[in-house]
Amino acid sequence: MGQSEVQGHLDAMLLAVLQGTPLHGYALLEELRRRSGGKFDLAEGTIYPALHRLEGSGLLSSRWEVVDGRRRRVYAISSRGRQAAGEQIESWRRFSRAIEAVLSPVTETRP
Amino acid sequence: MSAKGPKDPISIYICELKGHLRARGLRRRRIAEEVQAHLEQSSSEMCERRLEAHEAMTAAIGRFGAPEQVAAQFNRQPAARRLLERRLVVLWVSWIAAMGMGSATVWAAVSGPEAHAARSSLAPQHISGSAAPHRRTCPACEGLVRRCALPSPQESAGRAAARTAVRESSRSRRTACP
Repeated sequence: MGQSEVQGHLDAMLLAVLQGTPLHGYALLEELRRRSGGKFDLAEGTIYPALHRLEGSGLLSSRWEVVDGRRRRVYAISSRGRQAAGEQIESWRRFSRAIEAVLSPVTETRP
Repeated sequence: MSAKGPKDPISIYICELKGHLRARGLRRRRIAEEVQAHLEQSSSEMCERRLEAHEAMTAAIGRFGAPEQVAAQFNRQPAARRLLERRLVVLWVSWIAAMGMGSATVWAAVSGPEAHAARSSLAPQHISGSAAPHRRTCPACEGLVRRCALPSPQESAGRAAARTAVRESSRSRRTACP
């Protein structure tokens, strides 16, 4: 999947992954790769500005933690973030259903 | 990671990233620390896959993206946040101005001539008109006021006597008139 295609839905995907558990940037990327079956070809540097932006909007919170002997910034979803994630996931499902309906072969029923 | 040092690719990358960042202070340090931790973890995992240290770092940097592109994304701060910051500055300036005006008002009320006269009118020396010499500092508020606006008891007595004399002379003029 191309980077521009992924980029448009990056916020929703980050929020969706963080709904499960708080993670640092690297672990978040690995989880995204794992869930997409390695399909997402995302420049790793793009997720940190997105995480900062989501935190600035109050959808995420973060704090320093020592993970595997390294000091890492761990991100957790806020209650506003959960609400936003729910809305974005629902919006995506409506959109993908509509696309699916358009792309699927038409079965014409003639009177 | 034998290649790790002041001139290793990750340190050079972080320096370049910092050079392109518009953020300053804590935010800048936080970004640099987050990115460095990411690149170190990424390269150490590549080292575990039998990649040479320098090569692993270069590969990790390649996967992360060009420093100017990453910095440009950090520099695109949301408009809402900029607006919030501007509002905070306006609020802060207004608060400082209000505090200054409040202090000036209180100072004027405490040390102004009206307030001083009001305080002085309650002072026993002024009420009783005692013969004690009038001081240039008011007994009611010495230290706060340098000059008393009220006349001294002697001056008051002199003025009253002058008024009485004027009244008497006008009365005598009226009675002398045929």
